[in-house]
Amino acid sequence: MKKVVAVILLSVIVIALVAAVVFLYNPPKPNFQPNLNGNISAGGNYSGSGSYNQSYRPRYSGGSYGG
Amino acid sequence: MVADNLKKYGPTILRFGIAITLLWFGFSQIKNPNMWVGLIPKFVQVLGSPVMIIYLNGTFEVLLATLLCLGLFTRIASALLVLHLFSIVTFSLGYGAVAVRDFGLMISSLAIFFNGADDFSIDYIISEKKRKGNKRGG
Repeated sequence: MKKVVAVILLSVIVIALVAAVVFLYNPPKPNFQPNLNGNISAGGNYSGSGSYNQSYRPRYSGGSYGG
Repeated sequence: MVADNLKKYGPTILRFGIAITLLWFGFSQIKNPNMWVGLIPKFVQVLGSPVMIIYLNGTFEVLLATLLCLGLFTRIASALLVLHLFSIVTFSLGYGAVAVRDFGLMISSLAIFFNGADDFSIDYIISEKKRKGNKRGG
């Protein structure tokens, strides 16, 4: 019985540790889409935070396009 | 010999290593399913919403990893994991570094399946208890 309790305790600790690592820290983004070139692009351009940086927003200048 | 004493820990370390890896992937899918949607093959997407499929896949992986950690239904859990990884390697990833890594995980899971219950698994503890009970009874 003691052994079973020990195994359960160890498992709970391991599961809780992994869950804490995943949910508390942002893991590196698995940007490994399958592609035909055989190249792996780890990391890529994923911003992670999901926030939108307004400074990169293209602005309408107000002038004419001269079409 | 010290090396011989270490031998019995090998299968347990392998089981926990695979379980931890699987837990990481499972929890990551539950935490941020959108990140994983691109890996779902098109023919699976007809089954339902891709996000829901990722949630189910993540939950399935966490469940398998929990069974592996406990050493409960070790053979069944590792057999399911082998099939699961085989389908990922074959239908989802295509040839590449990630597929080769998952192939390694699949072979490691196959080793767990062949080994069955190790000395520190609940399966083994229960079977030992039964064996001792039968000895006393018979």
